[in-house]
Amino acid sequence: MIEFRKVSFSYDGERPVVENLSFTIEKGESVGLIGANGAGKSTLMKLLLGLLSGTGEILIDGLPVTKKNLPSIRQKLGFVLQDSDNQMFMPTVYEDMIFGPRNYGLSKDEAERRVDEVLSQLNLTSLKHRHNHKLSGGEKRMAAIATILAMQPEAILMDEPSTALDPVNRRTVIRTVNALPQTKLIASHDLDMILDTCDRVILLANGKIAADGKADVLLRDQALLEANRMELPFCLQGYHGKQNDT
Amino acid sequence: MDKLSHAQAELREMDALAAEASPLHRLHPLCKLLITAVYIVTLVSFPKYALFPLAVMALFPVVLYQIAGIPMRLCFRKLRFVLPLVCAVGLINPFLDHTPLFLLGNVTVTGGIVSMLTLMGKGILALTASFLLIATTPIDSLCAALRKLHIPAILTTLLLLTYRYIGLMIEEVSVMSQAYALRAPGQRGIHISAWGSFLGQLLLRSIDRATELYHAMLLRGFQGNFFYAEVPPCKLSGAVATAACIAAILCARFVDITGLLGSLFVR
Amino acid sequence: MHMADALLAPAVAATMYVASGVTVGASVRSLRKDENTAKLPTMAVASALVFAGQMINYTIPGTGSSGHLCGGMLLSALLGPQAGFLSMVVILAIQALFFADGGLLALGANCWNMAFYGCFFGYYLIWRPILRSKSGSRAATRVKIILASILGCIVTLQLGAFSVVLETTLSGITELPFGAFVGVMQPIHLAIGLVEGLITAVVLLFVYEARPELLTEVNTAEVKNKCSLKTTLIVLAVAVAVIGGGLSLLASSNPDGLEWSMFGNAEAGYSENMGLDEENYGVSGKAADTAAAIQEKTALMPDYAFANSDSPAGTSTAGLVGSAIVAGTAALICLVGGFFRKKKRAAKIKNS
Repeated sequence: MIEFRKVSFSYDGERPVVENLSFTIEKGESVGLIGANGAGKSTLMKLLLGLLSGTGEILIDGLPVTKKNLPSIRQKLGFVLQDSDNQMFMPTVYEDMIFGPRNYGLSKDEAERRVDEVLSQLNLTSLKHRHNHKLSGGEKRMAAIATILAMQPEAILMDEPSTALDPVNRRTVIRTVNALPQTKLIASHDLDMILDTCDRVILLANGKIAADGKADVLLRDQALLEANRMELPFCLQGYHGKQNDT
Repeated sequence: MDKLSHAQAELREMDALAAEASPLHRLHPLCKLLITAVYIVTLVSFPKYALFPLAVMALFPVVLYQIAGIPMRLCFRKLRFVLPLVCAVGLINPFLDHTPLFLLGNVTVTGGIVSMLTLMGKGILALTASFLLIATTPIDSLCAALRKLHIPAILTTLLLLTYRYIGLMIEEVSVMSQAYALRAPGQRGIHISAWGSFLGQLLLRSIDRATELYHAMLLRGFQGNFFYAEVPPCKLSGAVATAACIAAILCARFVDITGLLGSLFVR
Repeated sequence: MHMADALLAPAVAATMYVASGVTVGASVRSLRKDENTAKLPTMAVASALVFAGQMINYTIPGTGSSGHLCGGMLLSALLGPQAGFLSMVVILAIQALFFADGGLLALGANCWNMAFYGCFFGYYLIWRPILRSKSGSRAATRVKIILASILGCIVTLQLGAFSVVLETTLSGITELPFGAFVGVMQPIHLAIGLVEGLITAVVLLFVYEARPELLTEVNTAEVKNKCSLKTTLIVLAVAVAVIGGGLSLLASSNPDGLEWSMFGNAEAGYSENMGLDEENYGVSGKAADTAAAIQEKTALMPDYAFANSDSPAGTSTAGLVGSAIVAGTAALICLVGGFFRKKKRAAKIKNS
């Protein structure tokens, strides 16, 4: 479904942010993308979505990410932004949800039907005519996911889907993500959530793949994680009380 | 900063009012826009000494506020910021215009006083009317009405987008000024050494936000079009009510109702 | 500098609406031609920020007072004049709608006074010529930014303030003579312009240091399309024609109208001078006649002279009594409404 072939990218032409990346994500896989700040997670996502272009080749369903293919590629990929406020720019949830489908040529009625479907699937029907700027943080995140699902993408990319959510909202998002049949690529520092939602993890370090493997195995490798400015997921740490680092 | 939290509260309040239900809330936004426009234009067209005929115009907001279920005092709270401006210009009138108009007991009332009061009356009433419009009409409905009037889509979309982000920006500015104030006790505003960086930082961050926002649009196939929910068409009853309202406003302008009313008693 | 509805005669307000409307139309057209859809979110977020940023108090050293941000120059330096103008229009509309800063009727005039000069005049006649002049060093650019911002804010605020005076005087609402009004407004706005210019300058300098590519006209390497200047000149010409035409129409419908306003003659009645077209005229004349007739009949206080016996205030006694009745009715309506609201609220609480 998603294939990177020797992809490199640099903002300034000198220091590479992403270097010689090659990997493949199969249809239906859920992949966690982890790595320290500045490891290249966001850049990788933007390259995939054609918001940035580097060297090498990126294929989505065999279709290379080029300017000409962008409309059909972006229809296949749904991207949930980290800041839902940036994603939900229309006045109401409903108007935000029809934005994608209408842009891709759906009629008013078809778009409306999709909105109703997605909202009832996510139990969000009550949000339909609410104003975006009056939603709570949790509602906003769920509505942002709904706007993406309304486009019926084949793969869903998420950037830090669990930040700034309280535990209940975070759990709702995790459940929602797990219930989605699509291919998923989730970038996050929340390793517990990655463990809960992904089968496979790609660990980035300095723009390269430091590790790529089963989530269950990789996220237990304390030495590897700590070498890359991360720590074991809390659920695997055991509780030791407040720690005093000496 | 007080002004910021005040603005935030104000926006929230207006949002809450517009979300309520009443016959006036249900009226088609275009009708409300039309009534408000006719009302304000009629209002300011009253001659400068027409204080008493103007009094009838006060009945419109009074009645409509009751229909909308909005207490008038909410609107009058706003007046304290606006009235000084209207008065500042009007206050000069009594000193410059000494034309005697009539006697009130033994006091001669001059044209200046009457014109000042008329000016203030117009200012207050115009404000109550525009407050009522926005207190009963969410901004997206208002923009739908504006689009019906063929106001360019760029402008209405920009209005909606700006309104969408105003709350966020006020939030960001107030967080930053609180952070500033906490480290600069006793300062009433931003010190000159931080003038540029304070807003400059926010500006750069906002530009980044705008870029991300644009990406969000592009990723959902944006080609320059926005799609909005449609406002249900105007009902016959609404159209009739609007016509009646406008007729009444015009009647109040051209018939001296207060004078006629008073002459029933004073003879 | 926001004008309230009450300060404007309908004809003046309409003229200013047309002038600002034409400018909006031309700006929208030029933006459409650009086909740069990326600009829209930037415009929205920047105007939202400027809106919020205008509420920040900038302490002026050595004085107890504080200055505020001048939106027009800042936005047009960042977005270009057309986009800057539309952003300012939106800011002013939101201020009028939600914060009662300036009225709905006065919106056209406010857009003209506060957005047009800052964005178009300030941009094409001050910002661009200064920033474009040759001499490429960074220090020179910094000086140019400061110079253009301060000069731009001062000049455009002076123009705006003058327009406020002109519009108010032409509306004939205030008795304040033109000369005195100008004498008050211009010096105040000179000081305000200086401070606003300084604030704009330092904000733009900060942007220049951090992200110079965001400022228009700073990277002289890029080729500018000349078309935008042409559209602006056309806009200016049309606007001048509209305003000039509108105002001269006002003046000619009553030959001494303009003169009257200019010299602050307080004698003549306002309605005879300003803002009413022929039709309304007739009707109001009739109303005045009836009023005069009523007043004759109601000669309760016959021994004093009315200055303008045909002015609507001539019916003062009846008017006063009538107004009292109206006020009583209004109070009653409010009371009844309040009573029902309370009842409804009580019922709601009971139900829940």
